[in-house]
Amino acid sequence: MFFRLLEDSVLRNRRRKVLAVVTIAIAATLMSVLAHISIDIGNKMAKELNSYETNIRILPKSEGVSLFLGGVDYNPLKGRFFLNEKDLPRIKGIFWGNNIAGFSPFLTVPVKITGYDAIPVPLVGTFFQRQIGDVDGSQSFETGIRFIKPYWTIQGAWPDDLQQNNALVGKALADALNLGVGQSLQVTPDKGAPVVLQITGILSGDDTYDHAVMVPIETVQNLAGLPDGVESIDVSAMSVPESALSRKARTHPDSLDVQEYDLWYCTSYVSSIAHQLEEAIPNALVKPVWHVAETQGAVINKIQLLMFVMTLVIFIAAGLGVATIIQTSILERSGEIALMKAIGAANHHVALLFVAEAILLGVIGGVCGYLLGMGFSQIIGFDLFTSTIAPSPIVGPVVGTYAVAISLTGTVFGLTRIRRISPTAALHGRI
Amino acid sequence: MNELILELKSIKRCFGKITALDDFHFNVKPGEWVSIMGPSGSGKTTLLNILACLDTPTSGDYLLDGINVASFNEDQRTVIRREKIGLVFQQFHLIPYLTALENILLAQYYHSVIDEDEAMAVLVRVGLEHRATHLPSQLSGGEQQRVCVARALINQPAIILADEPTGNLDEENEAIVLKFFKDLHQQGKTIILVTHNPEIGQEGDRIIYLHHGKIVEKVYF
Amino acid sequence: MLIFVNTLREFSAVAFTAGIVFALFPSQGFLVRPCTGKATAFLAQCLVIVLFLASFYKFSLHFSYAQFSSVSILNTDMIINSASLFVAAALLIAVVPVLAHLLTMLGKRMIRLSLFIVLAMIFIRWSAEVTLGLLELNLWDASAARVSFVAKIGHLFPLMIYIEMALFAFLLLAFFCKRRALLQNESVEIGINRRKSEYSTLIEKRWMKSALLIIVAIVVPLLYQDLYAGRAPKLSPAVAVASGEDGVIRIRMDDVKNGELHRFSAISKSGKQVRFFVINRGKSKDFGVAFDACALCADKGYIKKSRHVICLACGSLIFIPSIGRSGGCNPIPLKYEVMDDMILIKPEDLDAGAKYFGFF
Ligand SMILES: Nc1ncnc2c1ncn2[C@@H]1O[C@H](COP(=O)(O)OP(=O)(O)OP(=O)(O)O)[C@@H](O)[C@H]1O
Ligand SMILES: [Mg+2]
Repeated sequence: MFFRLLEDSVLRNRRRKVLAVVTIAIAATLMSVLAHISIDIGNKMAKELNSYETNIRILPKSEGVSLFLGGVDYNPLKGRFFLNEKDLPRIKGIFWGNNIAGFSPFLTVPVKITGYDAIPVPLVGTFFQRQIGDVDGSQSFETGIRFIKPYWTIQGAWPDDLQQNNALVGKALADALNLGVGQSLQVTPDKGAPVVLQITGILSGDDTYDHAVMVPIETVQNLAGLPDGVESIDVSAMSVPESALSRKARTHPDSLDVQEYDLWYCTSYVSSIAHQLEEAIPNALVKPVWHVAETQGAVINKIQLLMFVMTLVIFIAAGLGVATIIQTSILERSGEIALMKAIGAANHHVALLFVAEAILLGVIGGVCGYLLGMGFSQIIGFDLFTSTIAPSPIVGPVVGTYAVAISLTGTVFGLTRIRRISPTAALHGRI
Repeated sequence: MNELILELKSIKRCFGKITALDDFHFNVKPGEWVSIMGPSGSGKTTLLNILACLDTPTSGDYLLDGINVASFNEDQRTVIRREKIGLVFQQFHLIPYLTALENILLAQYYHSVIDEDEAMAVLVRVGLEHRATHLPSQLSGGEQQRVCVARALINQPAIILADEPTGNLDEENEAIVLKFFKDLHQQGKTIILVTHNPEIGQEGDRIIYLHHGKIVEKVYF
Repeated sequence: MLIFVNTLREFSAVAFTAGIVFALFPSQGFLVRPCTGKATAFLAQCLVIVLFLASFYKFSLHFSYAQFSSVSILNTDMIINSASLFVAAALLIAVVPVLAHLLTMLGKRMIRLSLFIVLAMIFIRWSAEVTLGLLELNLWDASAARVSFVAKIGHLFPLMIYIEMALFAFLLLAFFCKRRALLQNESVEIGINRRKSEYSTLIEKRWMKSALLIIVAIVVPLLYQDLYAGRAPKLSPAVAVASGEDGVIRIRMDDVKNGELHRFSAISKSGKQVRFFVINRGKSKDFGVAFDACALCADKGYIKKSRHVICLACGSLIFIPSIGRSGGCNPIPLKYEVMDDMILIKPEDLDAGAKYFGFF
């Protein structure tokens, strides 16, 4: 019987119901957009922070930070501090040295390519794959950029670190200049003699080096006149994600009890690895590279409060809208309600009808809003971060709950009217 | 033990300055048929509303089956109304979007559980089994009133309250509906029936005449 | 999941007490006024409130936002964890009326029984908490009896919710049996009374269904957490290897070259059971051989999970190519020699590692 009543109740007065659904759907759309964007980035960030492989960057402690414009460093190398290539084995010498999966140093100078003088391109010196001895020279370790960028794809072959003229060219640059594997290339630094390079491979899969030429680090050191000069080091480490314990250890080291201290000491937290690296390498500044957290995450973090306030305001506005619609509809049906009460309906019988209807309207509005929001979030996500938003499954329940909550809150406020309808109207014929 | 099924003791019902019922005393024995007559505005419907537990008196006591319901709240009145009282309206008041059968099922649903066989049996009793799936708008006035009577009977109340049940009917239908009331009276139901028609009034065991919220005359047969 | 389970554990006693109190004083309603209501009812409700506050305090001690998510931006973990908190609260709130109804229908004896069981558990639990507090504040001397009492109750606490749920299930069963007996004794009703009794059956069925639903919704996640998800990962079994006549342990390379962690156990000269493992570090036969113990975090051992080797004691990941070297949380290296297709481990090398095992 209840469903029979609900059926009629839902099907009647469609214009008003459409109005309610539209109100809810608009609110749900907004929620859907915000939730899609925020949750996608939150998830990416959580995945990054919870990952067991962290990228750590070692930079010289100096004020002269490189000035990158269009992939070219315009800050002259002179007058800046550098790390020393001789310190590299120390990386493996730290307590958590076994957890260092690989590292690679970098030194970059801007060069002009003969024949294309107009645009300077970065000439990046690095390790591709080579053996490095321990601090005491007892054991050796194979490392280089191959090991820390497993997602790179190379068309052709990796350069040989021992061949100083071997070079890897970024895909975009290669396409622009029509360069291919096996061709040679003459580059000229600001001051100094030109060098001829042999292209062994084309690199794709990394935006950072799309417009760069990569060579063994000695080539760049020679060009720049900086023997052993290293500008930065990328380290890939196997670590344990930061936890409540590691945070506690950093902020209140004294508050750890014996067990906690042992556990903390014996755990390769990112922060401890970074800290040890900073101690091991002179004049170094070490920090984990959290790509998402530092770019998209930072943006969302700033506007999160704004988003929260927005959803709250919309909730209240839409809730009031629904309350008005429900109240009108109760008022309109007051004769029928009076009759129902006269023949034995309790308030809850009548209220349940409206609540069920509210849930239904909320779900419909929520689904519409969810889908619309998914579309909009793609556009906005692309606009903000030039990346697509992966729709995560949790957004559905979130938007659904939000929509149903709006509908129910509105209805509950409207329901107070049901109590005020007196069944005496039935006998008096005022129906 | 208790000889009275309804007992009103100095009931007063005021609407602002208007006193619709004034120091009203009224007793009904089980199985009695009482007709209530009086000019328009004399307080008949107000009395019925109080008897049906649809309304509460401004002051006074109302004993229904020995229970004082005058101070009951809305929910308590709803429960007691479901159990003990069947209502027949002048304007029939069927739910327009439910069929005849569903209108009866609705009363069952509010009371306890629905039972289509029982609902159908009541429809048979009022001679409308062939109209079960018709909407009220597809029924004549007499048929609608018979559905209304069926609805009032479905939960087997002890008391039937009717407010001018034949007011909107032609003579033929009036006779049919009146016949039901006579049958019910025979079965021992208590009936209180408001009417403007003296002939119908005389069908009862007694008539009380109201004027300005007071009983001005009682006629026993 | 953990938040869900912890919330249930902490507050279940409050919900149960509240349900019993409502059943004890059915007509007193919610929040008895001290002057007009029954004094005992008022005191009972005060007890519920005090209990709630105490549980809330205990809960807040271990509560931190970091449990919800490692990231401050809205994400899936954060939503699921917060939702689980609300679901747990809703379930416990639902326990109150359902329990009260069951008890009211079952009568005084069952109410007293439940009250006794629940109050006993509350008393034991909180006396342990208070003892611990007094010990921590140095107001009480830490005698062995006191410390072991606190520790024992600490171990028993996770079981309490199961006892409560068992009680709930028992009450449900008792109610079910009682109704069945009633229905069988009843003469067949006719007319309106039949519909009325059908209705009351329907309503009672709804109560029973909700009770069952609540029990399932609480017990299943609890069991899942306690028996499966919350269990510490276990070491794969160690294959016992015997040394040859010369005391040298020989392991065929072909048996251990598949890249998995192969755990072995052998008896050292000192009679201790010593575990070690062999893992192929690269594609060719490049073996890392190490004791299944860490110089820092003792002999909990190491497991291989997907493509990582993990130290069970601290959860640190071990870089597989570094197995066989000492340092960090790496397993303690075990010297070995290769001969033909065999890995040979000398008895003196094995004995050298015996000191890392079994000192707890
Ligand atoms: N809700 C109300 N508010 C104010 N006055 C009311 C209300 N209901 C009834 N009255 C007044 O109470 C008095 C009695 O009304 P009631 O409806 O009981 O008369 P009645 O005898 O049923 O008349 P009729 O024969 O026309 O149906 C009238 O004066 C009417 O105006
Ligand atoms: Mg009238």
